[in-house]
Amino acid sequence: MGRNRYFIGIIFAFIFLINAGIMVGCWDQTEIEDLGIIVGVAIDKPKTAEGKEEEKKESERNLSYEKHRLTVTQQFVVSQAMGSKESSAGMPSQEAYSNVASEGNTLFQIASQFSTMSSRLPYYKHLKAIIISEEIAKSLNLEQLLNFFLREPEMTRDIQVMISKGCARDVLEVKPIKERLPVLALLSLTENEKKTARMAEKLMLGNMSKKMANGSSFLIPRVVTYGDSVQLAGAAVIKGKENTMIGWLGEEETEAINWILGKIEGSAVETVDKETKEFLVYEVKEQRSQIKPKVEGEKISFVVEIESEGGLGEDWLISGDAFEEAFMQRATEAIREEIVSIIYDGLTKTQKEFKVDVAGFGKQLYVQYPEVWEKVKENWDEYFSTVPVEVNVEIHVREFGMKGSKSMQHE
Amino acid sequence: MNISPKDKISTVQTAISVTLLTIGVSILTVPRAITEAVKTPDGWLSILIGGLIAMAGGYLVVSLSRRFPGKTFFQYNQIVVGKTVGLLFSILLIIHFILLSSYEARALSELVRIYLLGRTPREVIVILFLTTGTYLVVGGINPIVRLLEAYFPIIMLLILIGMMSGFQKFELDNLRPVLAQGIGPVFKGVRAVLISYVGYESMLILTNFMQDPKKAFKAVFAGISISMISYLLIFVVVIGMLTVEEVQLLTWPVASASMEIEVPGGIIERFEPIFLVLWILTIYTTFVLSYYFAGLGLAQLFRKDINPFLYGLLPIMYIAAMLPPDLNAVFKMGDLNGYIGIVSGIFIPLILLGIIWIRRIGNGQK
Repeated sequence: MGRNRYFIGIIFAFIFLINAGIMVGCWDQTEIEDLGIIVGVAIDKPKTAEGKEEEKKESERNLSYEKHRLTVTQQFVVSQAMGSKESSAGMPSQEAYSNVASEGNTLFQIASQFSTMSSRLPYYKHLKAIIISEEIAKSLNLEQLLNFFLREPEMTRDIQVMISKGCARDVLEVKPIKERLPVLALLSLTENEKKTARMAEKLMLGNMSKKMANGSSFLIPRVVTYGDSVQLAGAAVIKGKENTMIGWLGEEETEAINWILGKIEGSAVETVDKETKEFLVYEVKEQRSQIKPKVEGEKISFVVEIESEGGLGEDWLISGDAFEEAFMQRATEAIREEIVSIIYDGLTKTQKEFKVDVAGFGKQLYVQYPEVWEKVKENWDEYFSTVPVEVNVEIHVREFGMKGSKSMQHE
Repeated sequence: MNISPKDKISTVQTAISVTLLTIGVSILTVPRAITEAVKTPDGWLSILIGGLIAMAGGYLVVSLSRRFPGKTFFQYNQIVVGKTVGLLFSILLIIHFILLSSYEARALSELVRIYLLGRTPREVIVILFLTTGTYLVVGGINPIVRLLEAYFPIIMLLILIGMMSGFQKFELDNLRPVLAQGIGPVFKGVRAVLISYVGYESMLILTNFMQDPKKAFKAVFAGISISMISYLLIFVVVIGMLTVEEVQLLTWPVASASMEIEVPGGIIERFEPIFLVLWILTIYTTFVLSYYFAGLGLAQLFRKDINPFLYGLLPIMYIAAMLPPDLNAVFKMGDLNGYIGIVSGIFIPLILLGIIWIRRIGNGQK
């Protein structure tokens, strides 16, 4: 009897041991060293006709091949180099990233091709930025193009989307000085929207998906490469419903849209004093805006109320004396006029030239006059180009810093 | 098999059971199910109206059950409508609970595959889920409700935290204009939302498990109200975050919304694993309850011990869970089951009450 018990005990111990080996949750385990963490993706049109011969045979199978040809560059993190410190002896240390490019028709297909080219498994959970080249954005519907990223559960909805002037791959090639990864350097640029209004509001994949679902037009931040530096300024205009790029907005025009959207957290506005022809700089500290639709009979119009608070950041006027109320009023007026003209310039460009509504006028009309919206929503972008928009700007220059006046005028 | 005294549950436990049986997979899909029907941001009104209808249903179910103290639906329906029809009603309710538990198990496996274990076969997840459920269910109603009692605050807290953190991306304009196309679309939404309220029909059984059946009305109304508030909160936040148009395009809108939440300070980069805990808990609670009710129904039909039936249900639930070939079929299965739930939660009680009223049978509510 005692022996029997002993035997059963051993069997149970054995079962538990086997269980411990089987039941640990390692079914999907992959060691982090084996993952090729991808932080950035650049989508381009193939540059040259290399390997065309082979493809031509394939393309007979599918005529739309040519149109959809994409080159995708992925930025992998080299995890070993990420941790190591710069070598002190001036030895060139290993790059913390590597860019791998591949060509194909669909993004999923290209992504799986990377598995044949990279020693690590491509891993998208930390993908941070998608850069699309101008050429691609102009020729393809972005909803179709980005479908892969929105469908794949491995990706989050807060991946940032940007459009590059010129080749998108170049953006991933620019070697940053202060950061280890080009993509991270680019992302820290987007954080600077607190200091400038000249870049379009950062656009997450999820927000973009919403805008495309609504059929509204929108802006995507523009990224430009100059040799070995990148700049994030201006915006690409995407026409709603078609979801293709129709043109660029310059830095000031982007600023104008930001004023209307009321999203400026800090910026500088440069203006010229009328009397002395000298420069004045207004530092925007706070900004609010409100789009008010007006409907009178059949006529739709909008009033944009903009209010801003800030300080006088710099003035080149010899007579400039911020302690004097009259001067402050003169400066305020000059700044106000400058801002109004910036806004009208940007608005004219989007409304009259591109014929799109990128500042959410349509949404406000829908929210406040849904029955009017029902009549015009089908062709809203077209219709909007004929709608009068009035812009009222109110500026409060509340501060003038540590030094209000200059010595020259007291001599 | 009659209910022994130790199987009695309190009023609070009953209310919690009703809530947790109601909010299962539906908290993940309710914004899409409604907006697909309504197409305007007024779906929250549908949730309110649907909740009121569910409460009316709850009233019917409880007032029916209270006429037969100590007996569950499976036992008393034969007294009212006779053996054959009563058997049919019982079988319908049992099928409803079997389908509900299979649907929850399958939907959970789909979610886990998306967010957690991409390469683990569905079969493995479903089998593990079913067996953990069995482990709890064979203990009887008391262990189940006590576990639910423990889970309930966690689930509510997670819903609250999740939806509060969603407010960072919330835009009120996405919920406006109110009633732009009149009240018509709202009623279209009510039909869609009623499916999500299925769960209160469990009072056909639970009423007679209660220590104090007089408080059954209180319990069912509280249960439905808590589910209604949860649905409202989730709907408002998710539509405010994602817009009406986008919600209709997403497979798991609530999960996608959770993917947009940024954790302040960047301590953790991805927020969804926390939500996954929430989904698993809510789905598990729905699953164990419906599994138990299905087993109980069979046991009472055959007047035998419940445990063999619970084990016997395992392969049936597994097959039913694996039956839908793809995700669309899974959602269809959920909808179909929702309709069966409405039939057993509104129409059957109405019929039975009608017959009782005509034939003047039953007691207990004098």
